[in-house]
Amino acid sequence: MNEQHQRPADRHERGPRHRPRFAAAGVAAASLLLGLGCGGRNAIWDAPVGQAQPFALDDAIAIVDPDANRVVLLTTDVARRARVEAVPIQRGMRAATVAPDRSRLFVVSAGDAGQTPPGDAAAQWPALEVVTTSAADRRVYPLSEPLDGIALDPRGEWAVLFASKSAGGLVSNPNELLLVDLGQPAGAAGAGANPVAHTLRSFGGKPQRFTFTDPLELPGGLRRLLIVETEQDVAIVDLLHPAAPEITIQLTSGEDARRVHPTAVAVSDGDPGPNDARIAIRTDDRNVMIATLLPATDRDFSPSLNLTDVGAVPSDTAWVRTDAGALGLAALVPGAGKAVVVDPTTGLTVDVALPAPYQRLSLVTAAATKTAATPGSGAGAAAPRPVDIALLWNANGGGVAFWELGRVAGQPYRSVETVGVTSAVTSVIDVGSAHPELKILQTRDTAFFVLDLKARTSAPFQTSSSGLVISPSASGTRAWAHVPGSSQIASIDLQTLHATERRTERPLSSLFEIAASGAAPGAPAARSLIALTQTGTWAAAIYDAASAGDTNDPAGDAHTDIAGLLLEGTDAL
Amino acid sequence: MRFSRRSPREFFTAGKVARAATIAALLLSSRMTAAGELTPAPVDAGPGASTPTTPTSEPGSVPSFAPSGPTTVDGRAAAPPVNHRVVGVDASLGVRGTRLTSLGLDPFSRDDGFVQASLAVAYRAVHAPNLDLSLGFEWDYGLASSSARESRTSLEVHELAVALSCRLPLSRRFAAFGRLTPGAARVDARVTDAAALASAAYSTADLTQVHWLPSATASAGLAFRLASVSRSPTAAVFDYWLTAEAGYHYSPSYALELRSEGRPAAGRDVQPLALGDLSLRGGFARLGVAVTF
Repeated sequence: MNEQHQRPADRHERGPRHRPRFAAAGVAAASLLLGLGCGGRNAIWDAPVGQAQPFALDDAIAIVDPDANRVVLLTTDVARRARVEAVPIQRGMRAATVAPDRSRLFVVSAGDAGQTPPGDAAAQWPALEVVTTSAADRRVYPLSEPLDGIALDPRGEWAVLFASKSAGGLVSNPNELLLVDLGQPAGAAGAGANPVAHTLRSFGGKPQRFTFTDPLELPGGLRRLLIVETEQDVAIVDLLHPAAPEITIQLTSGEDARRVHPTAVAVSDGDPGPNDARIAIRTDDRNVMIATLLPATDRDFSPSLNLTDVGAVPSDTAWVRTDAGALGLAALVPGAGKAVVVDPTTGLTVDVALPAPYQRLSLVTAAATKTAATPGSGAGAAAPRPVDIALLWNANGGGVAFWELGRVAGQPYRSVETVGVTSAVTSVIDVGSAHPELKILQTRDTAFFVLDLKARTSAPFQTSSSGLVISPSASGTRAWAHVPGSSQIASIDLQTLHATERRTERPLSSLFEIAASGAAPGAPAARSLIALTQTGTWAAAIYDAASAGDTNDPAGDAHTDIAGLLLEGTDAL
Repeated sequence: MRFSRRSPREFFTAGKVARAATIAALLLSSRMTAAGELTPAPVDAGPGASTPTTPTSEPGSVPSFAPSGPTTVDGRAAAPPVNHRVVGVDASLGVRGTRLTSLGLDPFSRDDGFVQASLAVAYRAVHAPNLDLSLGFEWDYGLASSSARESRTSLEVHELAVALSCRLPLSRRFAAFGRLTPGAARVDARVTDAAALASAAYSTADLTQVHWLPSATASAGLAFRLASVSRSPTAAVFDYWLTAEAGYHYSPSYALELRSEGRPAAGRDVQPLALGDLSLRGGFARLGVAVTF
């Protein structure tokens, strides 16, 4: 007790020395409490989602997420399990596109474009990034300029980058191209440089379209060419020597103030041999220019030009095989209600009257050739020369017709056979695979048609909406249809032409069919049907494509639901 | 100098202060209103101090109302001895801020701080001259809300723990204390997303996960006594404290896997949204108010 009574006096003595210490402790605690909130989070969480865009690879859905500087890869397995992987890409994404065979995704980015990188991040420079589901196959090609346009070679060997209208730089040269050899890794300047810079010699135009040719037998050997259409001329780049000066075909003479604009090119290798490869250039006037690539003294080849008047502005052109396998250039001239076949050697033309002003032309020879035996085609008979069959169609009404080029000579009126499709055809979709003879004709109306090229039949399908999106399955056994924003998926059996319908739980924005991994050895390749909902942070419903498309399969409605796709994988970045 | 039967040791539940500020203020307010008179608050004489004698005032004490007769005492004055009743209850209210560096917190908070309110009630099991030991319960509640890629997110944490605390008087107004609170936490993570399946038509679509996990804290701090108030010589003395403490909160990490709330449907398998691992461990500080009686 006494000890306790003495303590107050002791405290009075110690107080002045200890109070500041206690006060300091209190201040420290308060400071600690206030300071606990220090430390930010990854900026990805504050990134918007509005710029995200889906692309269908063969084995994945690739969601390009530019605000988060990444690509989200959604893959599936046979058990409908989803795997989400985030692949970082550079800042400043400018363009993205998928390879024609859906094997790779190409992303063009500007990097920091000379600006200070955010935070402590290292500076990034313009690049072309190749994204695949296999990490080993991903590549980065540094670019010298922050370009934003990309065109891909259908054979997957080349990519060309250019400055499009939206390049956004203070000054950019639209004729400066970067040619990327996709079969080679990136290389520094010199003999192994990749990409290769190539600046087109310009007479005032800038690139509008790019066409990569198949290998052509040219005087200098087998070559692939890049044909660049500008607003007023056509340039030919030899891909064997991409840095070498190109050949420019000027469509307008210097004496004419009127400018002729190219609208399309068509390429033919001709017959076996080096001196008959040709490029047909369709323009916005009534002439068709045919450039035959012949030997030259100062280079391996040089174009020999031949101008042919087809009577009116052609809407489409294609190289075709006519009677006896003769090569001709078919041009549709809807303004004159006819087609014209041009002999590339003589320049002579044959007019073929058409029952409607068809605007588009597609060669469907292999798929449309009837297998029935014809007189003289028995054993011992000589093999018939190839004769092309073209499908004619029109986006403004007038239906569809078959044009058998073999009957052009002498019997022009019987060479065209119409099909009972009266709607305006907006697009022709190849089914391929199991049913190459089938084409799906989309129209402006609430209907589409399945066209059988062999039987020359067209099966109509009524739809509840004109905004129907149709895509054939990879196997070609069925087609999928949906209306963006709805929750209905239709499956059309292309063998029986029976349509079935399923409903998704969410409104779907897009529908994709991709390969699923994990199939047992010997089992057929599994495929997943993915209904993507592009609202919020995106969601997906994953179906087994075979079951979902089978009316009688009780597991057809079974699916795996995954939401928050754009939030996935963010912890790994 | 005033003495009270209650010493700094009697302060209980040293932590959990801050939220108690509100409660403490209410208590003070109600007592003043009922009494209608202010008297100097008793000041503890130190460990073991006892037998208050005369009402008086002391610099630094908090005035309070004495309803009738002497309610506070001063050891230096000759006054009849009083015998305050000791209930042995400590209650505290505080605000706790924990620094969580787990990446799993990022979708739910723009910074690393996680603020919780703490409410604790305890009973002094051991009352010795230089040491008080208390046993009680503590409830902590925290809610972090933010947005992740334009979707609203929230992380709600309830923690219920057994509170073991000890307190050592340091001076007339200061005491040190330490606390251990083993318990359990209920973590409700939620992402409101337009693409999620709603549980019913017209309801908000959420991705959710509710997870229970063990948790514990260890902390130490200082308590500063603001005032001591009593109605009468035999009534309980209410001591009001400000507390500050720092410590560490531990709970095991777990995988954040949020699922749509949609009603079960035949044929639907739900694959959760994986947001990485969440760990609610980190150093914390807590400020609060407490009342002991």
